[in-house]
Amino acid sequence: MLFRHSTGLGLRVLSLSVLMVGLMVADHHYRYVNNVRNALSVLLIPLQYILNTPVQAIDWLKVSAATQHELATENIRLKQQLLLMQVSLQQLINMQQENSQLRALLKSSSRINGQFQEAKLLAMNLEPTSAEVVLDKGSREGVAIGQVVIDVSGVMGQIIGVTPFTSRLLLITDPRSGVPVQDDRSGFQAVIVGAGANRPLSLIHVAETDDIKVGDLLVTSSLGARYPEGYPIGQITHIDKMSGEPFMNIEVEPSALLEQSRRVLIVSHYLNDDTKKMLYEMTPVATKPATTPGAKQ
Amino acid sequence: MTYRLVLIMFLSFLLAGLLQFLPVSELLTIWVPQWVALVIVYWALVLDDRFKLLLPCFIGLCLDAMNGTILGQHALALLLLSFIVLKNAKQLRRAGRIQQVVEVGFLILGYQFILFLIQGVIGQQLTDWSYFAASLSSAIIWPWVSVVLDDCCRRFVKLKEE
Repeated sequence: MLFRHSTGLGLRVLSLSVLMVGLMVADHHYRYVNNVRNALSVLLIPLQYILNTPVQAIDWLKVSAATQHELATENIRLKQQLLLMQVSLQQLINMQQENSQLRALLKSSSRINGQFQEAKLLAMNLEPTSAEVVLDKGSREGVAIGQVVIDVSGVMGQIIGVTPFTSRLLLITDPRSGVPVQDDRSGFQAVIVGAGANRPLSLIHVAETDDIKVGDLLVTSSLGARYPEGYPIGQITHIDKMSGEPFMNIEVEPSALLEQSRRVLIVSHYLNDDTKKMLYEMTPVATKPATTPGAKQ
Repeated sequence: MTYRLVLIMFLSFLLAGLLQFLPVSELLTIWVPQWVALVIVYWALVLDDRFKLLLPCFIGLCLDAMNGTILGQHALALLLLSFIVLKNAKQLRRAGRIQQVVEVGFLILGYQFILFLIQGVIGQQLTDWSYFAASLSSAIIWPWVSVVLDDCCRRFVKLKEE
């Protein structure tokens, strides 16, 4: 053991407290202890899967209790939706071809579409401050740190930790998260950061003269080479001009249903290596060690 | 008999973890008791001198890994919680049932307050005071926790040789 039995209780508690505070500082400022975190996460995998079973059971009950009529009507509705989607997809393919031809004319590199992988959230009742969730796909299915996760309506966040069977998703509402975005209307570029779970995002370093309005949709710009281009992040809900301050206070409502989505998509390989290299070279030297504003690691 | 004790402790923490992280509806989520902290309080109270301080540290680190909070946050809070329990074990054990409920309520409140402070220091401050509602529900659930665990101990381990 660490201590002899005769060592006073207060002393033992004090030394362990110092150890824990040291650990917190190491984790918060330097991220040195990710190995410890990963080891503990592997231990916790069974617990996470057991916790998900009630939710799975309810889903299963819903399906098995549904009548044939309900299923048939749902089937018809889904087929109609699929038809509509396929029609709009035809247009999209046409536009994509046109787009890549134009890009070829401009001699700019072509974009590769991302590969998508479906994943489900493992249901868990985490602390209210936590802006992280656990997904049911891990490194065995090819999930890697840095991959981006989206749901049907927008970007959710990025993967910050993987175990063989699970992965951890950092939501865009976390204060550690930063996403390079552009205004869909004006093309103005900025960085969006989280302000904590269940709070609006904030757009930082925007001056009063910049072209930004309430109601603008913000989409990801591919600067930073982490988030794929063109996915909606959120809508500007509030702009606050503070006198005496160089930048404005801008609140953004996330597009993704961060609280409700259970099925998500993990995006990978959306850039070819040339584009990545080019973007890396474009990044100012001062920020290079981080390689991306997408994550402070 | 020690391996039985270790087994019961392990199972109690497993069950507490399951109950604490069990997904519940939006309305109930603030009322979920701090099960793990309650079980720590119980074992500190019962084992007294034999209680190992590395236990709350390890359990706390697991909670941190689960919640995605910085490593050491829950560990420190649980460590200080068990310290206070160990310091006041005699009075706590002697207190009547109602008295014990109130005291445990304040212990859990203190535990949550430590978490709240650390959260504030790293700049992710809670704005919702309903967070502390959990200490009330934890206090209310305490008699049942202690009765159930007492019963398990009496059946499977002879802890109290009096």
